[in-house]
Amino acid sequence: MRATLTAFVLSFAIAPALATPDFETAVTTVIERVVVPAHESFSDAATAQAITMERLCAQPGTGSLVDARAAFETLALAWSRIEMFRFGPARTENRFEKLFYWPDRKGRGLKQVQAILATEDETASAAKRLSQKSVAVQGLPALEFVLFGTGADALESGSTFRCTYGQAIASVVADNATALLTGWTEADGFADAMRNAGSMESPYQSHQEAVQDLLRAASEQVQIVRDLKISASIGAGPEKAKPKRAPFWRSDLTMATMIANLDGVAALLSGGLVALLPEDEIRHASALDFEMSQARKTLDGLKSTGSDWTALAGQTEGHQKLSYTLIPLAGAIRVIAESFPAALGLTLGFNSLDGD
Amino acid sequence: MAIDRRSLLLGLGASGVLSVTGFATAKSEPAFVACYGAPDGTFGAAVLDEDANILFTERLDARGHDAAISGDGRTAVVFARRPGRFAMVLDLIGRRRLRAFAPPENRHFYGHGFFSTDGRLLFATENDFENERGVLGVYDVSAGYARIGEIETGGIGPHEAILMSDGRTAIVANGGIVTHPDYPRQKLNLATMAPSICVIDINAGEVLETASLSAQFRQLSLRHMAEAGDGGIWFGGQYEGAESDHVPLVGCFNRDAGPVLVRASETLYRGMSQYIGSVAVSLDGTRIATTSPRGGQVIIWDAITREPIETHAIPDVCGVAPKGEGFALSDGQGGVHSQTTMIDHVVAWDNHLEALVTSAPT
Repeated sequence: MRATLTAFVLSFAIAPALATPDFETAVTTVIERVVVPAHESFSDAATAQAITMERLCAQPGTGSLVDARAAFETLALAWSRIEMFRFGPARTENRFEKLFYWPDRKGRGLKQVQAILATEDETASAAKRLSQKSVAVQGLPALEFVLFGTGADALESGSTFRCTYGQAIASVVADNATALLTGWTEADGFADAMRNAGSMESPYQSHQEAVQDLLRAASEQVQIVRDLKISASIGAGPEKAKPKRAPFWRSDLTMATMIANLDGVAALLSGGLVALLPEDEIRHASALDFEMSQARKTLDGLKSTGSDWTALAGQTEGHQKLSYTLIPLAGAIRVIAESFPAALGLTLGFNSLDGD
Repeated sequence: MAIDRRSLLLGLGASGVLSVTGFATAKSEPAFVACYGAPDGTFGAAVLDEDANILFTERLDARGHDAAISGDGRTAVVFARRPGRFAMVLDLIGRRRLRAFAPPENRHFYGHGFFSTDGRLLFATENDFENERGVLGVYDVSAGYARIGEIETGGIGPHEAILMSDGRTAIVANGGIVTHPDYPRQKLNLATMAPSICVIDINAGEVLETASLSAQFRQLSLRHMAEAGDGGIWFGGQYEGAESDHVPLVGCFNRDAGPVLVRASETLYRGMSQYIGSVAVSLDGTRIATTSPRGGQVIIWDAITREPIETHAIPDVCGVAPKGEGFALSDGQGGVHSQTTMIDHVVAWDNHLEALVTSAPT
């Protein structure tokens, strides 16, 4: 009896030590399995886009326009998987804004793109000079307008300036995609900064802090999908919907890119962060799965109807279903922003997360 | 597993804001005002005595930010955190809420403000969000805080505004970042942001000067300030550029020299994680405290030599106010720290701790 009791006491005493989450391994694993491959995919997609744009300009036609638009879809989806990484290399030289100038309040960016097209602004026709111009005219939203916006069909029959501008954008996007990837993978790059948390060279004082940043990126991305892309676009009712507030409606990729955003978050969490949860806290992983799959199922269902985003938000049924997704998405945010950090013993950071 | 204090309390279903150490006796005097988040998810404003005991609390509809305190120490106005639209007036003597008011529909508060020296006017930093223009809203205290006008702050995103000891010159830190309530808390112009410090004559309602750092520091959003005994305005910034950039985060402004960043070792600034959350001056005006909740660090500077003289590590520290010969500091886990006190409350203290007496003795 005494032996049993001692064993029990011992195991009880040892348990917390065994359960200490291995933040360093989690950071390393997530970078290798998720962050770097996702940036590679984006960089590959950007290169492919640049090639299709070159071809479109050299051989305008229905086939080459279809190819360029298909390459844009791959590019936008690959981007949506890394949109959550707004820190690190994305913050250097405003690369995030250069790649994805959104939200575009008052359509300022759009007006700049339209002005370039209307005046056939030569300074926007080569990558080097374009990259020095406004962040709004050199990223994915600008390229989307060139390929799908008003007047885009003229590309089919050889719209010289529009195509040249599109080619320049694709080239700048490819450069920035490479720079993002290199920013992560180069020696002393951001991957090393996260892995070497606590060293003098790292902006992170500990691996916990790096994990906190990853969790914050994940919860912010779900929040952006929920509050900015869905809620702000659909409004209080179908008649109040402003679907054009959401990104990628011209290419009808709004739904697909939001799903890719959520998949990116799910991949980040399942790729190493969920493994940090102690056994007695594993329920949070199931809770997250449940909330995310509820939202995803509804979005998938809507996407499979084939109705475009602008129509969906203005229809009663579409609006109801989109409104419904706000509930599981709020649940997912709670799990990532509150339950996970609490279960991992991370400081909740009432002030450090505040940003004021 | 590790259980932090907040999750433990949440698990036990604790609610309200009862201090671990209990409420103060009725005799103690109000000394500080601070906003908080309670474990049950609600928000409030609290008035504390010198030893950081809670004298009374008032619930807020949403998260608050800073408070303006009248020179006679009788009234405090607590502002909503941006993009909030409420301000709540507290009677510090009667220990009760007097009223609440809001800015016009097309404005929201940024969370900071100050009273005129005679206590008749209240000034609040506000966002004219449709026009992306910062303003100081002017409120007439005796007319029930009716808004009687506004003054442009010469920039975007005015954050903290303070009244200098001359009683006439206001200094506003324009953070430079465009935000709009349609996109809650999204930064819409990081690539083109242009922070500045604005000097305003509040009697004339006129901008006297707008000053900026050099282009190299264009992404250092200037946010919080305090006036040192020699009239220098110390400011703290939040850097929006690359994490790998080593940028000074603290500076001093005066109208002759303009804004000048305070150089310190890379290691010292690194500990502040590119983010200063609050700035305060000691009662004698000779020391400046800057806090970083992201770095969990406090640096205290000599206002004359501009050298760092002390650092303290406190997780999620942000609120800071003068106390005795030093400072009181508050953190997101409920702690209030000073040379003579360490007290824990069952709340998360918000970014700012405001003292009833803030100016250097003259």
